[in-house]
Amino acid sequence: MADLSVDRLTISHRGETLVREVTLRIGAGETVALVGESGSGKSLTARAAAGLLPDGLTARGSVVFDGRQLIGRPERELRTLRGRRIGLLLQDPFTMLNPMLTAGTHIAETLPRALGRAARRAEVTRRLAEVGITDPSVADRYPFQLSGGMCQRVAMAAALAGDPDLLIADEPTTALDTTVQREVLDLLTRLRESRGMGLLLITHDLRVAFDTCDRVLVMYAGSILEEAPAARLAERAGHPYTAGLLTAMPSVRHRRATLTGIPGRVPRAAEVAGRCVFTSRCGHADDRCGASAPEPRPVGAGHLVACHRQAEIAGLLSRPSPPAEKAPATAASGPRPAVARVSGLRKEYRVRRSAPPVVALGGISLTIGDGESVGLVGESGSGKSTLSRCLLGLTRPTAGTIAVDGVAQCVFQDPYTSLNPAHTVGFALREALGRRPADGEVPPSEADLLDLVGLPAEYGRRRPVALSGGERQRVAIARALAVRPRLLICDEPVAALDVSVQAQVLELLRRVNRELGTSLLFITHDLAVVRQVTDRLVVLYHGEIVEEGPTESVLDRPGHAYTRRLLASAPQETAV
Amino acid sequence: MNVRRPGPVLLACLAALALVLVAAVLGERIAPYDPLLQDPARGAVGPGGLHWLGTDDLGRDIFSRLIAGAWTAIAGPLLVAIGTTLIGTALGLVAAYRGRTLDALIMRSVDLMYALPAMLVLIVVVGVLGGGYYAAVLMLILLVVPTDIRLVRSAALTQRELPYMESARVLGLSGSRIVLVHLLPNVLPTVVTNFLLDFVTALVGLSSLSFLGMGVPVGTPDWGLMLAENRSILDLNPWSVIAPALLITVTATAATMLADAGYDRISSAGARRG
Repeated sequence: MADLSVDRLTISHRGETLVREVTLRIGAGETVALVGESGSGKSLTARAAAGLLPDGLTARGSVVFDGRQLIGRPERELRTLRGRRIGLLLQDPFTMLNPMLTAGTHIAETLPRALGRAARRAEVTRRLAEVGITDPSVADRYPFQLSGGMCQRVAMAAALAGDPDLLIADEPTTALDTTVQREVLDLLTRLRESRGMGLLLITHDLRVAFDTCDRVLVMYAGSILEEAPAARLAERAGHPYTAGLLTAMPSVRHRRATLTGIPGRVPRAAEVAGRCVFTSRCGHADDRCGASAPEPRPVGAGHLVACHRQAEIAGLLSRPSPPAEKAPATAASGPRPAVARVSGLRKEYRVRRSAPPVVALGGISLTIGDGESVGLVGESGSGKSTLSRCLLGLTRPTAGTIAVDGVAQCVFQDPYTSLNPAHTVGFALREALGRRPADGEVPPSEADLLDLVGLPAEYGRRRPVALSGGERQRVAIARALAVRPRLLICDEPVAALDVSVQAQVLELLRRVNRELGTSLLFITHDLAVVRQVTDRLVVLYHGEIVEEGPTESVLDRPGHAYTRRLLASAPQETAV
Repeated sequence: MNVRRPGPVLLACLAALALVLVAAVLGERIAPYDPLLQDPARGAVGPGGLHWLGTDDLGRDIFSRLIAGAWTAIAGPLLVAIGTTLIGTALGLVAAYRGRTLDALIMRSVDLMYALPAMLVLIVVVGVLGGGYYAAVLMLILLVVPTDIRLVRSAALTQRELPYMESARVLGLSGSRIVLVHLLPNVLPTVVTNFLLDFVTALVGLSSLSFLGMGVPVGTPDWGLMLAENRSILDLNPWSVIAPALLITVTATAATMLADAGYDRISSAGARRG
């Protein structure tokens, strides 16, 4: 069995450093998670470890696998290593597989060549069974005929077909539904144990890392800030950044009194050379932090922290806020007038004229009270987005009635396409303000709106391209609030955001709900997020409402089998 | 985002187009000779001190005729480009935004137009029925516009489903405002590129017609026509043919290169991520 040892790996592009002096070691059969937000350099590090750096990027330092130096090794030799010794699993199951090849061909490609046709066929079937696909006919199907979870399993079987000693998995479950994510992670853990294979898991989700790995490394702006056994990191994070990430995470078990995001944004690795990379966003920084980059120092068994002030601030680090008091005041105040009433809503799609219609919503009824915050959870294809589109008037329902009192507005998932790239933030806000119904009050100014969502007034002159994902999402919220909606429909508004930014947006939405009295319909797949922001929860499954009730009681005592499965699948925030 | 400085190739293209434009506007006023002045005694002489590019068989100065010919080389194609861009963009946007019946109506008509062999129709209408240069311009608009409609429509369709378009609809903005203020700026790269490429198509198309003896009347200083008229003196003064051919090629190439660079620039100037 082989181990991977990365020593002072530095990756740069035309002189700009992207990853700085990363050191990590994965022993045979060990599982290590590399956790970081977008732009932290975690994927690049993983690619360098597999000898797969994109063209134009150069790596310095050393990557030794099984006693062989990978850096500077010619592609021809690396190729024999990949697949046979190092397997690679990537995020998007659909683009990872070649659409022109069947599932079986993908797996057979990496198998030892010496097999005859029948033997190869049998081996492919065996490999598919190993990843939980017992139907051998899957081997003859093309990726587009398979679901996301199936594709990811096929990709996993293909990655494992060469019996690698180390599997590098880059966000393997991010694109999947919660329940499928759980299945894939469990499968990954099981296979790893039965094969004694090492695993390097790249993820943005600390919960997934805690769930799956022995050791966790936290990466930020191209540098590793902390390394610790998973259980220890969850309890005693030693770096202000890790502590910040933990306080920014909502919990599926209880509503936190407050979620605290980390202010500011992730700098580029090149901007923060020669100092602690977290200085600009750290509440504990002093002169030393800006003067030199701290070396990782051991603070416990297998626990390394790269922080100048680690010893001084160990007791001061923020910890996740305790569970909030029982049900907040607004939720308890009896029946309220409805802002939206949906009854018998049915939506069918016709894919082809001859084919029977697909039922997206099977006649559902739902009422959203004034000032209420309602969560809507369900997996992809459950009809949750169809419901929101019907409420917004973007789709015409097949049957049923929808009555919305006042204006409904929306915030969408992808912050990068939610704003028109051709116009400034101010233009978007002024345009929305122009649609504000006259109510005798002085309408807010553009600056008021920006202030409401915590952005400086000068952002009005910027175009979306100059904004980060979290900032764009705030602008989208400000634009929605400009018309003074009675109901704000949020369709996965934080799914594309990093944890530290997600917390800020969630807090903002909660404030909008509490202070402005705007009703929320919050669509998400993340139960922890739902617990944090909503009073009432509606569970949608195959176009039907299967469970409905106060968020706390549904999550504490789920009634329907699907809700229970969903809860069991949610990654836990503490290590197991 | 920093604005890239145009490279030497792009600068050369801009300079070439600017020169042609100046020649088109000033025309005879900057030409050393009257482009129509005949001097049979000095017919078909090669380049020299008096006539930089020599003369044709009637003794007319090639260089002056090239300058004067810039007008028909620019004006017609420009009209075609303006016409097709306006009509094509409007119909393409409407087809993409409204969808359904209107889309079907517009796009089936486009399919029908596509089925026509453009050059053949042009030759029949202009050559056989007569009508001259401006009839050719009108026909070219009709024949080129389907391409524009298709390109603008497909560019608009990719934008139509994006959340920012839906946000605009949820805000309750009027259809015309959504199309003009939200959709149009995001298909602008396609529109600008279409404009320049239509110009090239029309330039080559009109020159071809002139070469075939249709379009402009005989004797008009026109690059395509010069190409045809001077073929007989190719051995006496090769420049009388090479020069107009070169000008057509250079102008068309420069506009194409500009279209290519223009697309990259406009689409990266804040419109898209990265």
